[in-house]
Amino acid sequence: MFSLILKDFMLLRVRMWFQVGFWVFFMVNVSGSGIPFLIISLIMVSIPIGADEKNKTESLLVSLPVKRSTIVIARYLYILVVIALVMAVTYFSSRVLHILSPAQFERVVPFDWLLAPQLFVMFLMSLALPIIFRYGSHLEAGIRVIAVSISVIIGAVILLIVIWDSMGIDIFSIKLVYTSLGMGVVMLISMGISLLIYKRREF
Amino acid sequence: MENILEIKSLRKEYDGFILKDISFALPYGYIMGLIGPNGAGKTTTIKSIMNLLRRNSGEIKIFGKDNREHELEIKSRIGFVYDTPTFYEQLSLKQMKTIIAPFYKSWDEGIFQRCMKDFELPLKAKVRTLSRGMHMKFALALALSHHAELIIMDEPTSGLDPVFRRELLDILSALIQDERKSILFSTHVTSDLERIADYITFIHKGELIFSLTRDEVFENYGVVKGGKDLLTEENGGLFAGVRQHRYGIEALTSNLPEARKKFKTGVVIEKATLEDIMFYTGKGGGNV
Repeated sequence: MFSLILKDFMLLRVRMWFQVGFWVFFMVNVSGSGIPFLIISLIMVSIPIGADEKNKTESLLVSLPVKRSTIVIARYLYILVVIALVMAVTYFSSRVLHILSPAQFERVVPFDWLLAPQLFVMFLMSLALPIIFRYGSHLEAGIRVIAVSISVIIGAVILLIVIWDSMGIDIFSIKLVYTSLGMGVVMLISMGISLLIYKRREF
Repeated sequence: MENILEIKSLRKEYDGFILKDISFALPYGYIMGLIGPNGAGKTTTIKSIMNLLRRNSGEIKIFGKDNREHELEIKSRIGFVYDTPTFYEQLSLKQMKTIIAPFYKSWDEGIFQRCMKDFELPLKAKVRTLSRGMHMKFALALALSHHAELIIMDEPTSGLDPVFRRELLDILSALIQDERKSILFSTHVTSDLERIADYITFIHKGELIFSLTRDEVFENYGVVKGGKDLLTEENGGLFAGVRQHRYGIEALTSNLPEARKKFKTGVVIEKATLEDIMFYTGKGGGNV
C-alpha cells in the first residue's frame, strides 16, 4: 500500500516546479481565496492517474503480487493525503506570509476556506474514480462527460460563492462539518463501487 | 515429470473470438514457446494464466496451485514481461525498482545490481530513454531479482534487432540451467523457438493445434512437394494444409514417417520449419 502511494508521489515530482510555481503565485496574489488550491489539488491528483494511462502501467500493477483492492484503496488514500498536504502547506505558508508581511497579507487563509475546495475535490474524484477504474482514464466519451460535468459544477459553485460572498453569507462555516461528513460517506461509497468494479476488470 | 504450469480445457469467450478448450503443460526446467499468427489467442492464454482475464471455464495450475485461489503467492513466484513497455517513462530505473521491489518478499538487491551491471543498464537512466531491447532486459532483471521460478513473456523478441534478440535468447537459455526455473514465451518469430524452445505449443484461431516437444514437432511435421495428382481423397487425411500453384502442390503433413512411406517417387519431402507449420495450417485444406 505504502509503495503504491509513494509511487504516486514520485510521479508528482516530475511536474513539481510547475506546481510549486502555481502555488507560490496564488499564495502571493490570491491568498484570501481557497479556489486556486482546488485547482492545485486537482492537478496533483490527476497527474498519477494520467501517468498510469499514458504508460499503460495498470497492467503492470495488476501483474504484481498485490491485491486489486489494495491498488484501489491506495489511490483513494493518495487523494486524501494530497488534500491534507495542500491544506497544511497552504495554511502554514499563509501564516508565515502573514507574519513576514502583515501589511500585504492581512490575514491567514481561514481553515474553512481551505477545506471547502478540498471537499469539492473529494466529491469530484468520488465521481471520477469508479469510471476510471472501470474504463481507464482514456475513455474519451467518459472523460468528455466528466469534463463537462466538472466544468458545469465548478462554474456553478464559483458563481454561487461569488454571489453569496457579495451578500455576506459565509456558506462554508454554516454546514462545513455536515458537508465533510457527507463527503466522507460519498467517498466511501465511491470506493466500494470502485472495489467491486476493479475486482472484475479485465486487462 | 513434475509440471510448473498445467492448463486444462481453458476457455475464454470474447465478442468475435473464442479460445477453445486449450490444454497443455510445461514441466520444471524447460522453455516452452507459444506460437501462432496474430490474433490466434496467445496473449489471451498468457493473460488468463496471469489472471488478467477471467476465464469462462477450465483449470490453470501453477506450481500445482489454482491461479485464482493462490493468486498472490503465485504472482510472487512469477516474472511477467509484457510485449509493450509498461513502466513509467518519466521515472528512472532506480525509481522503478523502488516501486516494484517492496512487493516481493524474496527481492534480492544483490542480484538486481548484478543484472543491471551484466545487462549494461544505467540505474539513473529514465525509462523513456531505453530502447526496446533494454526495456526487455530491465523487465527481465526485475523478474530475476525476486527469484522468479516461472518467467512468462509475451512476444519478448518482436521489434528487437537480431543482435538484441540473440542476446535475449542466450540469457533465457542460461536461465534454465537452474532446473527449477521454466520459461513460457509467446512469439511469432519462429526462428527464435527453433533455437531455444524445448516445447512448442501452437495455437491457431483459438484452437490448440499441438503442444509437443521440439523434437516431436520436427519428427512428425514435413512439407510434401509434388504434382496435383497427390490431391486424392486417399491422401487428404495426410495433409494438414495445402498450397496449390501452377505446377503442383505443397502440403504440410503432420505424419512425416507415413508420408515418407507412401510417397516414394516424383515427390520431394522436407522437414517442416515452424514457419511452414504456421503458414500451411493457416491455409487449411487437408481434405481434398
